[in-house]
Amino acid sequence: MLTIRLNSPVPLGDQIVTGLRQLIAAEHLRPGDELPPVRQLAADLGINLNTVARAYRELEQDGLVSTGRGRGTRVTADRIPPLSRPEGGRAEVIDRLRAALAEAKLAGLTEEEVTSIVRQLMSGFWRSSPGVGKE
Amino acid sequence: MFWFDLLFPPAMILFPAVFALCVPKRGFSEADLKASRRLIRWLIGGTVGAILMWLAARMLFKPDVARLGWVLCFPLMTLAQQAIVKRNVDWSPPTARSGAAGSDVRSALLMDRAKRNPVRRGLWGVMWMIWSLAVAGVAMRPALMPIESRAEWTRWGIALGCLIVVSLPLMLFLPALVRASLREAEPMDPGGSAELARAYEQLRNFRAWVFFWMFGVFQPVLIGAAMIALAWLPDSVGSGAIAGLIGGGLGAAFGLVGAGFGIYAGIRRARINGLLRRLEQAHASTLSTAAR
Repeated sequence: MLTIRLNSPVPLGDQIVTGLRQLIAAEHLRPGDELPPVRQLAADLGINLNTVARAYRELEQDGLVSTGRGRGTRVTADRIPPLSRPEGGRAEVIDRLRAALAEAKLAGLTEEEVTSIVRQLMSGFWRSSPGVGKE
Repeated sequence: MFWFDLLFPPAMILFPAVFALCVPKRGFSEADLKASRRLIRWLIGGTVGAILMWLAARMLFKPDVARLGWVLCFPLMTLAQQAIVKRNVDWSPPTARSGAAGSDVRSALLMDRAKRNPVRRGLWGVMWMIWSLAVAGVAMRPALMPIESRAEWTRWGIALGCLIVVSLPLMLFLPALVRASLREAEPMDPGGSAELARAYEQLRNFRAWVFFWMFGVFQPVLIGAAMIALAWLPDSVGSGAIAGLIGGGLGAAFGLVGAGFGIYAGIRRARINGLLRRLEQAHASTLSTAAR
């Protein structure tokens, strides 16, 4: 299921892209799975269909989905092809993690709390990761 | 016809106001309830005016003219819809709610609902078979029973034309109409309630089946039977009037059944909107408790 927040400072299209990427990374969406048509998803979320169309295009540029006439939009890969990102996107990911950790510290979270949250989130993406309950 | 003329038009005129007043009050702000009261005052005034117009038409003109007074229910129904949306939050689209009335979280299930069409492709063949039989039934008339008068030729032409001009376009658009109905907005609660998803699915399938049976089966059966009767009835005095009466009666019954299904689906949808609203409120209160 995809969830967005209307009052979030993050643009709606970016929320859709992030949400679908998370679902693909967590293997809730697998290669071959079909995404709902743009019009249907826009109606369900109560947002403009151009916003959804832009989000689908962005995912298509990343190589995660493909759209074909008459066969809808399908998930094509469970990872972004390395060729589309320098160093496989590693530097970008590290930058984002650093920014997120800085946000967490500024929000007053302790190191233990951040570790616990990260472990819990990781267990949703990597089956072998120790979840909070498994500690 | 006397009782029909006396009961049908006022019943249709009164229906929008009665229906609006039967919808329970559940406005999400006092301003909305106030707007609803104002609209209902207009609606009652309009209903009284329409009844007076119908009575005046009965007294001044022929019953045929007064009978048409029932069409006044359409503008009244438009007004009633506006009043109902303001009167009860569950009758407005959930995605139109904002602020205190609805959560800022929007969720959707990721599946193409048109691919879960309960009306399988093969079933459309039944519709085409019925229509083809009706067309054959009318088309064979000159070959099996010679047409002797110009009036019979005219009736035969009208029957064949009606099947092609009225029935055929409806059937051509029906699969697309069913697909569009399956893609009607189904906003989910943030928790992805299975009860809500099931309620949506039941209503979605019910609507698809109603469309199929009404426009894909009964429509070609009714129009086909009426047109076969029109083409084959002997050219005698009164036969046209009998065909008109039967056709009018069946058409009115078809319309009333369709309206009944529409109202029933509307009530079910309002119940689903109510369930979604309660789930969203529960989710919001859970979040606020966790924040404390």
